[in-house]
Amino acid sequence: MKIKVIENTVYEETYVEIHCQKVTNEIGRLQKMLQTFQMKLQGHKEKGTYHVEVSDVLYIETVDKKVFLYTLHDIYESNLKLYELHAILAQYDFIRIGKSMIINFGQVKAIKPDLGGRLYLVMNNGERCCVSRQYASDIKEKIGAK
Amino acid sequence: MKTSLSMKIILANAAAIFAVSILMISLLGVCFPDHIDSSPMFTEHGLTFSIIFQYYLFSIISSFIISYVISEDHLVHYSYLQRIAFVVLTIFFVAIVFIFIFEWMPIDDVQAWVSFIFMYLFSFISCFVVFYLLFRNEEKKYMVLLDEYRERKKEL
Repeated sequence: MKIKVIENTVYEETYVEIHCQKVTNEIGRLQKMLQTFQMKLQGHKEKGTYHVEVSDVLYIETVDKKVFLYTLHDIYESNLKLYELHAILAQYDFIRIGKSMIINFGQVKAIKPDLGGRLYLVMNNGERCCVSRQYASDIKEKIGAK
Repeated sequence: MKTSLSMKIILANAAAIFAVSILMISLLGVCFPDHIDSSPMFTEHGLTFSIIFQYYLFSIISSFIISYVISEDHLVHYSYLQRIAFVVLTIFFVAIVFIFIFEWMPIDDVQAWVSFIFMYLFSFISCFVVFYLLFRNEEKKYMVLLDEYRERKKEL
């Protein structure tokens, strides 16, 4: 895949054009990854496709190899893998709390200790997300507790 | 490292519980020799081999219960206080079963039962209070740090 960047003051807005023989899954994923730079994630729900604001996402979880985006009122399925979402969303304060979960740290209401060196996070919707011991130190480091 | 149920962790915890319980019983034997003499667990020379193995079995079962509660796969939706209560009450039930099966103390001795229940309740409440205070302080610390983190993020 060739990548070309053209810089010119005549452009009022940045736009990305993808030229390809056929829209493959890889191209589709590339398109979705580019959309996240607009602070939006593509999510699917009941055969419809929606653009979900990154800041509205509470957490993202893998269940049975499917990736779901959880917002305050809805759940959307994403075509991107969890590690891809994590790589893109780390800049928006998303952090991994388990092998199958990343959370939006901006949506955390409280951090509480738990048995076995774990933590649990109370999200803005009141839901509790368990942070495994492996990732608890990352959370502590993030807030300066370590 | 995932804290799921693993035989290695259960046996390691069992060894620790076993060592502490043997130490506690030995201390009781040294401090209260007259009281210990009334228990069928002891001979005039100390603990018997069978009693030591019974303790080890009890330690493994207790360790399994603790590991089950601490693992990331079970009872995760319960608060830590509820899980501590679960551990303490389950081990209490197991201890009663062991007392009946192996006659660790005279079954019809009311004073022995009262002492046992009192000591167990004391340990239970102490454990509860220690965890509650430690976790409450930690929670307060996290809340302060989280607020400071949010402030820092706003400034950026």
